Amino acid sequence: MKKLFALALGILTAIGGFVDIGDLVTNALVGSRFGLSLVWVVAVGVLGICVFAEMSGRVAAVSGRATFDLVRERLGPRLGLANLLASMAVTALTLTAEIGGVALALELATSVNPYLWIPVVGAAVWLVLWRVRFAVLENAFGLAGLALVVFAVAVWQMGPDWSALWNDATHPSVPGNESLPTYLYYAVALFGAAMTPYEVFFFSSGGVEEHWTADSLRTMRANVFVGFPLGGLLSVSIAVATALVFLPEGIQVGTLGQVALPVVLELGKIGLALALLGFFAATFGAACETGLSVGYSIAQYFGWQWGKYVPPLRAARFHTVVLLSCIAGVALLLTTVDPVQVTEYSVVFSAIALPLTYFPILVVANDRTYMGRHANGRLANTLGTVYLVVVIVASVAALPLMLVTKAGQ
Amino acid sequence: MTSPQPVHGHPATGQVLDLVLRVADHQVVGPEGLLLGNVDNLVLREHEGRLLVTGFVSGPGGLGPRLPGSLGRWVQAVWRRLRSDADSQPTVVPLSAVARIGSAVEVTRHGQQVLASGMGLEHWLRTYVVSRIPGAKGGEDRLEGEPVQDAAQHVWSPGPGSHLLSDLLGARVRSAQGEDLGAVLDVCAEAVAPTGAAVGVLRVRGLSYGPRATGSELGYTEDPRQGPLVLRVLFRRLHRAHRYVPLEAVDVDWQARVVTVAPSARPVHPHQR
Repeated sequence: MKKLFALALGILTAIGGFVDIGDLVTNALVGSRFGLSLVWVVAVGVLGICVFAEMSGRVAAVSGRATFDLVRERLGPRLGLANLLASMAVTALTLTAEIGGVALALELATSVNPYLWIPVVGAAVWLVLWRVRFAVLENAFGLAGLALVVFAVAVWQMGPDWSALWNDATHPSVPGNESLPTYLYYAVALFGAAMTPYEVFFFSSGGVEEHWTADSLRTMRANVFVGFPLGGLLSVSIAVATALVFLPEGIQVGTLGQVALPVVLELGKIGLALALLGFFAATFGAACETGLSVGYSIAQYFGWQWGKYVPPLRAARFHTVVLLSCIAGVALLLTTVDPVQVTEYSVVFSAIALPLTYFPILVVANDRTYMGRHANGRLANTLGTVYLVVVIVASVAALPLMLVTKAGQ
Repeated sequence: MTSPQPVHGHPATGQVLDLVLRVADHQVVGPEGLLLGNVDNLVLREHEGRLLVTGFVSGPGGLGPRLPGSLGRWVQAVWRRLRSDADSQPTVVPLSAVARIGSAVEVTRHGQQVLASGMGLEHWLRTYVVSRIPGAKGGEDRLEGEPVQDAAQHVWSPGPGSHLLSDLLGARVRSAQGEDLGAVLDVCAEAVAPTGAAVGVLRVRGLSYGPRATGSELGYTEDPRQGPLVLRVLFRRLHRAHRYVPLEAVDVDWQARVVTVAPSARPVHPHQR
């Protein structure tokens, strides 16, 4: 019974924790501009993050080594350092976007200017990372993030023509008023939103924090293969909701308030309250995850003690990095950049940086000296190789598409 | 060449380790599972005509020489400036203080103390930053326990017969006729004198070299079974000119960082060692 409860809790937090500011903004924006014609990318991205997270989680459980530990080991100090700088730039950008997202959610709830909220949010994120236990942090925000189910409920309430929706999703085509490069640019953005590198840094390091062993593999796989796809359904429901409301009017979603509008129209105040709770939990939880990920990755590259499983003074360098990254995120936001735009860029740069960490994990998951009988089997290697090609193609295509489309305008 | 099973326990006599793939850049773990640093460099010592691996270096002093050009020099220079003694050399953990080499390098309590004495940044941040934040816990810790009695013994001293792995990695390899064959990519060593529960000393058996360094640390050149298939085929092609040569068949010029392969040597692909 206790085991079952733990399994259910793990799956529920995986669902609620799947969505972050990148998924919220990108899915809503894409829904309002492209309808359901890009849903296939979410499916590809969700399967991709399942493959990637399962490999890195398995390596962490069996060998006890988290992602950046292995990046350094397999790429050497030089290439590893270049990789660290690129991955940390992207993760710090994502952290900035998440803090901005929390501030925007709080603005919607309180009508207080987000720039007043930003330092408060940054301090709160750091305080949670400093004081709150790892398991509490992971479960609380994951469960509260489930409030985003209101988007699925809102779609249900709208009573759309399901067969038409299914047809749109399964027969993707470029909408008449959009160009092919723009369509592809948003495909890459959606892919980057679903497969963000920090998710894997956090997932594998979290496995070490929770002392996974080879016996934990079953639970880990259940979280990944049940939780992540259901989390992906949540993001699709956001795209469907905005597609139903905004696409016919030709309105492009540009603010977090607009993202919530379909829920307000259908479910009223209670819907708004739940949507805001969902926004807050999803972005705050992800801000914690990205903040930790910056610390994890830098500490793992240098071999420093990291993690919340040791008292803070034992991991002084790790906690200093986490503190500095929270300050840096707030500082960047206070230059008055638009958090929604930061988000849009962060998902594209995520897609660009993805192969840097994906590739070493794929190699180590095949190393029988470490992994023994838990090394990649035929299925994991087939999917792993297919996705290696996919992530490289997305990474290479991202910058040219960004330049050609002027970042999707 | 690597053993089919995961490396459990210390390597038995005769077990072979590829130093770059299996030791360098690995996490160092203490007896209670504390993370103590990375194996940033290895110490090689010439002894009675043999080349032995006697210890490892963790921290910027060992990492600097492995970073490229001026970045590496900067790292070392800044690190030296921040040390109290003027001409400080990195601290060496002897392999006799290494209990196991697996996915991590596990050191004994003695090794943990030696490493703790080199953690300047950690101690500084602990004292002046993190301990001043309310709620900081875990101060009275084992790392600062008893200081190492013979600290001076654990300092690396450059000199004849004493080298770092980074002196050998990347060194040019030439044939007896002076033809360039590539650079040293990995160093193969075997356990010779495990003492009690420790790794003891490793003896260098040979070198791998080749013209293409890209991906040479991934393991495809050392382990013929390393998957997935597509990458195996790709890297085998890329690294087809890589060769392994026993140490007896080469002459190492440490000053010029040139390795000359004797004309009698028969280098083979690392898979055929």
